[in-house]
Amino acid sequence: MQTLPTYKSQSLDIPFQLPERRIRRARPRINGQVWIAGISRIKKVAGGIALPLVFPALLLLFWWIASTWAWIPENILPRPITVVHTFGDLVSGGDLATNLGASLRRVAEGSALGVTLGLALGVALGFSPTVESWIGPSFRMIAQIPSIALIPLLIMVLGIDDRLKLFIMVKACVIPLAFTTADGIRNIPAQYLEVGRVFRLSRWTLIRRIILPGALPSIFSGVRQGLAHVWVSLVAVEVLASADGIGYLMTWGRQIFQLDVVLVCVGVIGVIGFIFDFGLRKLESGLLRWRGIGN
Amino acid sequence: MDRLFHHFRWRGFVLPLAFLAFWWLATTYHWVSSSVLVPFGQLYQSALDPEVSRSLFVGLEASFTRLLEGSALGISLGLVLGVGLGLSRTFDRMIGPSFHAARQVAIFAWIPLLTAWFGNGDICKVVFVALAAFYPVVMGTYEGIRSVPIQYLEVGRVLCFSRVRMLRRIILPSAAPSIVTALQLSLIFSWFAAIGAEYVIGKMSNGIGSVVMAAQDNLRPDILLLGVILISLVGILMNKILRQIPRYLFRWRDA
Repeated sequence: MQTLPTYKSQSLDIPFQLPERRIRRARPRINGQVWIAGISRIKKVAGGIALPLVFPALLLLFWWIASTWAWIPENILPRPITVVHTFGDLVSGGDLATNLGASLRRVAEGSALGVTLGLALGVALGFSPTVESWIGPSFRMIAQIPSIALIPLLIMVLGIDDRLKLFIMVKACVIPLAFTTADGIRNIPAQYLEVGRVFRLSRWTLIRRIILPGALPSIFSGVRQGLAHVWVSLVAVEVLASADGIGYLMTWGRQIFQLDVVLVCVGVIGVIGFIFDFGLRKLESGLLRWRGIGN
Repeated sequence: MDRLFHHFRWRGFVLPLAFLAFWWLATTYHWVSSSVLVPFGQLYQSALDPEVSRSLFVGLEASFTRLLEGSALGISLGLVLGVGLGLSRTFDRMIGPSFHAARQVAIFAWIPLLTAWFGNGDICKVVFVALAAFYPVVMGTYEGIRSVPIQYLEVGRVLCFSRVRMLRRIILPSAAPSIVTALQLSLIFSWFAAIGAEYVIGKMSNGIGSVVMAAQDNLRPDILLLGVILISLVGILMNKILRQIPRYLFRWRDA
């Protein structure tokens, strides 16, 4: 991240601080000063690690105190240690693996289909003004209605089994992906397309060699958004209507009033969301490295 | 006439009209059961039924009230946190990672926990709507403040602005477009979050989502369809109106 100077210092002598500091560094250090410099570095590193942990630690402390001294009843706020034990039980009992497996299998199916359709639609919309003029307006209309709002209607039409989940995941993925892909293609510099036209590339070669590489950064951010939406919407459907999956495990825990199960599920859902986001960001920066350091 | 035909973008209307025609044919010739796809006539009849329309509009009003309460709460908390994270690096390093960790949890995963803590009533839904409104506001405010051009800050520094003046005269105006976009996003989010919460939490309460869920249980596909259409229309309308606001507010930028 680019570092901005903080607005805090109001002194006007900021430009003059730099040479002064350099002079101090250049002076030969005697033992004591090296020692002090070492400490300050340790302090800095420790601050970088410790500072983010302050808030979670306080929260945990409060949670621990509140549940140990029973300010809040056990069934409303289970103890931290109970949650850890429940996590162990769910893992060793296989409940977590079964349900998480069911959810992840759905995510894999939904994102495979969603990414394929979204890319196809995005390329078509971005590449061809004719396609855009026929289906663009309807698509933009549908895009404004999240699938969450349509769930009762979809349950009526598709039932509550896997077809419903697949439909909702695919819709959640296609919309951001198709939008960003189409935008990315429209924003390709005209010169690149002219090069292709000069070489009389066929339409397919033009798409493969110029349009897709040119739109790749937008496509990637679209895929990342699309997959994040897949996960969020799958959890929503599973909470609402499902017989297995991590969302179901959570509602089941809620129904028998075992909030430790619910808390474990919230944690697992968060971790999976983080892995998706982090992994895709890494993949994105790795695959787009050819674009140079500037990007 | 020919020119009019060319200027009128008729192509965009073909697909929706084809869909409606298919619907009409399917219900007229009974390709699908009428409990799935309601005939137009029946839909029109029930829309005129005072009982039905009353329940829908009462529900709409209740949902909208909750939307306003929840988003007011979420937006004000979000603004405070966003400004804090944007202004202070220490605060950002302290709270930022926790905030981003919490953001990774899919929002509907909080509902079972919230129903346990706040009951099935209004409070739970308001808290959920507030949560949905909260995230985009924090993100937008944070991004807006972080991307204030350095030159602007330097001008403030040269003029020896006090902290408050710096915030009021330079940072907030410069971050305003980003913040307004975030507010727009968070209101749309909260509308659908309010509806989603009503779907999940169920039939006991008022609100248009509960009316729809009750219609599903009572096998009234006409009410269900009308409800979903109404919910979607409100969402689209909100989107349209909210999009106009920044255009109006930031006229001075283009000058």
